[in-house]
Amino acid sequence: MRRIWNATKLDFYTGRSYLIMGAAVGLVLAGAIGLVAKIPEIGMILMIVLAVFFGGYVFSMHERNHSDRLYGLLPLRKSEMIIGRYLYTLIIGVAATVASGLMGWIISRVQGSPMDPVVFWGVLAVAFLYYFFATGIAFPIYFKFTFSKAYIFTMVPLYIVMLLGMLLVRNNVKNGIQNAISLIQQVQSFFTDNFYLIPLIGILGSAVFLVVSGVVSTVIYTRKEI
Amino acid sequence: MSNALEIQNLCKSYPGFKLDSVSFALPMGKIMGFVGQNGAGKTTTIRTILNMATRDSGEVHVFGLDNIADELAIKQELGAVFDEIFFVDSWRIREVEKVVRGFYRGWDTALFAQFLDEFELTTGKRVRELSRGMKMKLMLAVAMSHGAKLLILDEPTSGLDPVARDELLDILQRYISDGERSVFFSTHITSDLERVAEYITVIEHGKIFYTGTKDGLLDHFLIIRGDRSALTADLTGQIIGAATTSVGFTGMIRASDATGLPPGLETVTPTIDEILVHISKGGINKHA
Repeated sequence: MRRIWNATKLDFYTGRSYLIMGAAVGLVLAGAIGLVAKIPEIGMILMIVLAVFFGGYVFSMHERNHSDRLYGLLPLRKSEMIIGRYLYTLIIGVAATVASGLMGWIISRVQGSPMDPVVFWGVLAVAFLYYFFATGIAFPIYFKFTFSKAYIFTMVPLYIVMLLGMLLVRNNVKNGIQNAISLIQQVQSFFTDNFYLIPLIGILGSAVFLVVSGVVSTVIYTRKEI
Repeated sequence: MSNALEIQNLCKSYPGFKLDSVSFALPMGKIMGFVGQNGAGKTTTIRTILNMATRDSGEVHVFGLDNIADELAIKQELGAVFDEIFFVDSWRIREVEKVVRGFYRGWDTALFAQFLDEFELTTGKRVRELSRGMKMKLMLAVAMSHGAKLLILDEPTSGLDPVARDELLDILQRYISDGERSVFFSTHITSDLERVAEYITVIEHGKIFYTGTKDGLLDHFLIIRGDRSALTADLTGQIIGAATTSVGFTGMIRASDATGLPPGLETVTPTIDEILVHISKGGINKHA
């Protein structure tokens, strides 16, 4: 466990400059957009999208600084290095979600219209899920290829989410806007009655993404020569 | 005498390159130079020792332990220096220590500070602000501050100015002075080896050409020079890497073949450089 924690620490020292930049950009940009648009949810989601973007830069830093040699030298198993990297992204994901929640709360207070708790927790759960969905796809790709070569493919999760959103909208428009509103109301009503399910779905879904991705990364990286 | 590093019949293939049954042993308390041309297999051998590359077959033992099965135990006792620094360039030297020390049971902060002081490295400097020689010293300071008993250096002197190279070689000589620590040192700058290495392994196209003491290597071969007319068919067969001019020839032979040479030929003890050059030439190389 000590070696895993040391690997995580190594990643924090490596990605620190991007994390600081990401936090600053995230808070300012996402906060400003949320305030201007008067939709806190947009700021909250943007914060998470930026966290995915900046969190992955640890791979770029390692690549640029020949860290493969450092990892080849340290008394650390490849699998421990991978667990350390996932622990690193878990900490960033949790921190970004907390920051996203605080931002949403503050924006809604500034605007004088508190968010509906179901919407607030729902957005946070979706943001949390998206973070681990996106990093869960990106990390095995980074472990397999180099950051510089694979970076473009790690935008795939965002495209998938956008595509699903467009399909959903198009389908609802076809079926009539009334159906869509009715569907949203049903969903909202369900989660109002089963409030505890919102964080549960967020946490469990994220855990599934993280574990599956971690296993794939381990299989890839332990077979790879560094 | 026990061995710090022992490699037996190590094979590793890549498309277009093969380490072919590489075997050698580095006795405890000695410096071994590992020489060969670029692409001869030096780095692949080192990467395989460090388990960064997986061997196809053969055995690698460090302090008698298998380099794969006992990887973590070995790496506690092993330090390495590469031609490029592997610490993040934005780290300050004090952060290098913060990051690395947790991995080593034997990390000695006072010793690290002592090395930094000796090498004139200030803890507030960032890695990217260091000269090439200073980066090398930082890697050495880290490698020597956790009680490593074997240092593996891959082309550490390439790109260093003569003063920095001299300092590095001094450090290595002091490092092994207690007789319990060893250095495995790959380079193609053979003058470094003439100065510090007691043992030499020569690798050529993925095969070991020679392994043993430096004196043994120098005694093993002779440079031979003479008139072109003296270059008989028998002699040509014995010469390694002959070069002919319009008037004469020069080449290298095994010392054991020196008896019965035709009169009038001059033989001299080669330098390591000359041995490498003749090995790389291999056959007859005609010049007009």
